[in-house]
Amino acid sequence: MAERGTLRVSAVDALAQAEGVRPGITVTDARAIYPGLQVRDADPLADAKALAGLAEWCERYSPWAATDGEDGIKLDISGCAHLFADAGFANDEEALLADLTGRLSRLGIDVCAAAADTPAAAWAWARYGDGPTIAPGTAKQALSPLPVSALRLPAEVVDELGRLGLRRVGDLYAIPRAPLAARLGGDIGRRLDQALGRKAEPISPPRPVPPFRVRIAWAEPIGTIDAVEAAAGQVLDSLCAMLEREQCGARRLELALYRVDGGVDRRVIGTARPSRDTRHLRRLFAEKLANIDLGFGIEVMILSAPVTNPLAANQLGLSREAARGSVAVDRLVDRLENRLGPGNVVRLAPVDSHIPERAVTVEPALAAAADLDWAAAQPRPIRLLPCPEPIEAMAPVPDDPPLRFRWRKVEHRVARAEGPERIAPEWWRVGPAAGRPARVRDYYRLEDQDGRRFWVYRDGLYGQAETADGPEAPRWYMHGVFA
Amino acid sequence: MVEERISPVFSRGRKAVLGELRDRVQALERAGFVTAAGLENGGIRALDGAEIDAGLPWGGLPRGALHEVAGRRDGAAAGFAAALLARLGGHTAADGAGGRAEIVLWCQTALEAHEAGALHGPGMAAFGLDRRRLIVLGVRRPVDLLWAMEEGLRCPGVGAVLGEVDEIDLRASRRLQLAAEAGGAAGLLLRPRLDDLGVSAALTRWRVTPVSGPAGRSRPLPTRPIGASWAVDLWRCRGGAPRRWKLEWDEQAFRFAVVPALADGPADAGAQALSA
Repeated sequence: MAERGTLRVSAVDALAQAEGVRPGITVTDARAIYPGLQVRDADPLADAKALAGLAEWCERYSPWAATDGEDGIKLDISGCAHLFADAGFANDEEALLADLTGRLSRLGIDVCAAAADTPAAAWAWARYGDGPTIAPGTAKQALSPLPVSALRLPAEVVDELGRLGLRRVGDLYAIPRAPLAARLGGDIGRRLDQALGRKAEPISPPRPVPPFRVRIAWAEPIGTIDAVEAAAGQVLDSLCAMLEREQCGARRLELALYRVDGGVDRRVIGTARPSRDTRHLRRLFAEKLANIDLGFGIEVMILSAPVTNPLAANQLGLSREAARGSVAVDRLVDRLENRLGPGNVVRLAPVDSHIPERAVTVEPALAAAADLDWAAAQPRPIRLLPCPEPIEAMAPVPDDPPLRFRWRKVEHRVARAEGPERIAPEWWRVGPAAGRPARVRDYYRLEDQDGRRFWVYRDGLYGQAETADGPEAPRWYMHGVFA
Repeated sequence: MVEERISPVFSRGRKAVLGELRDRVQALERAGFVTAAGLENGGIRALDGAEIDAGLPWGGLPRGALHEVAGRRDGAAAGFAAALLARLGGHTAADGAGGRAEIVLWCQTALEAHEAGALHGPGMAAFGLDRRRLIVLGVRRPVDLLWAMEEGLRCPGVGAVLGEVDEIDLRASRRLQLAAEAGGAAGLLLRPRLDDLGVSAALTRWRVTPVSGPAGRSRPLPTRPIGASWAVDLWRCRGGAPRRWKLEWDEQAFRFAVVPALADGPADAGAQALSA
């Protein structure tokens, strides 16, 4: 860590700490204390990213997981702890903590963990406490002997409290709030209330917690694609049963695979219409699971439905031939979209504009089609170039269509021409932001000596070329080809 | 006789044995031929109800099979393929309410869309492709395109699937042919080239080039309406003979019109251009 040119120690490992190296001293001092010290540059961004990854990993215990400051993760395990019940431990929370710390230390991560009634009490207990949990209702006594810095107060407030002789959390219980707040700010009261559960401190996870969620965990990690697919089918069955009870269909499903090595692999599928058809959804997932990296195996699998829509039961029982065909098309569109990516399975749709490139947009393949149709009265090319391409045109008279032109390095002699079709710029779009003001376009249909048919236009008119910026001659562009 | 002792099959007569062997070979190589399943699933669609259909061994173009349309990137082949797609993919305006309205798919790689231009809805509509029936797929890799075509061909409710493919081998085209037979939908390959087309399992293979009208030699240029007209060369047709036509597309009636060949007419000019 560089500070005014001085390198300082920002963090140390357990061995260095044992030698007396502490965060905050200069690197020179640290080397003097222990000459064999290895120094690495601090990388706060990478640290934050790793912490976020770890928080994501913790979602295997509870969906309410979030990072806390620079070095902590908080987890709301209300109602989750009984899943980890183990006769060897005093209570379920302790068993869960043992599972958590055990797994993390096997991954090579040293961790201090604690469970308590409030996030603030757990924060204090994890850093200053003794033992894994604070029993419910005993936070006040448990926190009492801890130093005041356990209340997450700024360093200067802690120093000031020390000068007043208030060194333990318990010392603050009996002090009147008002004078303390007047002298040291309102932080102390708030922090104390949070620790003792008088003030709510919700945990907001980085992603919303979906109401439909199924979790499956294995004692031994599974390591084959077949097993993962079978398990995915199993959780999918349970989730679809849940959806059916609630008369819902999923629009998006997310399958999170928690690997033994601490990584999380997420696979998302989407459907164009709400669905709870296990066979269809399983097929969509099969595509996504084909190229998955299982590493050393998968321990936990969580399937959730972040987006759902109402879907009544009677919509599923379709018997007529045409209806079956349309359901099959819905399914096909889902499969195509999941493999090709959203926005790649579309229908062409009209827009109310005369500018050819603006007259066409795309809409989702299964959107309800508006009853609009193409507005152009004149023939239109079958293919339109994404960007009009400049061509070198030779016209005998400025106002005439060209007699010959060169496009993509090929010379074309014009045999027939038809036009012009004049398309005026949309004046409401013309502005300084567009740079050059849009000009009138004269479109011609040209047929060359080989019968190829093109759509070219002249950008601007002769005789009106003088603009405010100075004269600019009209230019010719290729815009499309006819069949 | 010695032969009779060694191979008793000859005792059944030469004709019967040969017929049996032909059947077996055809069963082995059935991709590429119209099978009973393909015909039954797909049926046959008339192209113009007259001259072209009479030139085809099936009296029309079978769905449930793969067809190939080749042409340079000048729009002519795309127009002909769009018209075929609309015909094969169910009903057209000309058929009236008789046909089923089915979805048709048009698959295009991003590279091809950049090179040849993106599909333009108003232009497609002129060939009978209603925008509500047409789903356009944008794919990045050719392998995804073949996959999407196969999925589409096997899907009930899909009438026809077109893919713009530059390179395709026999194996891939055979897969598509089998998928078309199974699903009863028509598969169309649109190839952006006229030569080096390679071998293919397609039932019919067409080459399309634009045909020009009489050239204007004087100024001002003639301004009679420019319509789509093509020299269409059916150069491979399983179970039929190669044929050539000069076609025009009637945008009002949504149908092909065969231009009678004249001795010095443009049809022959187009045909010469093809054979050259």
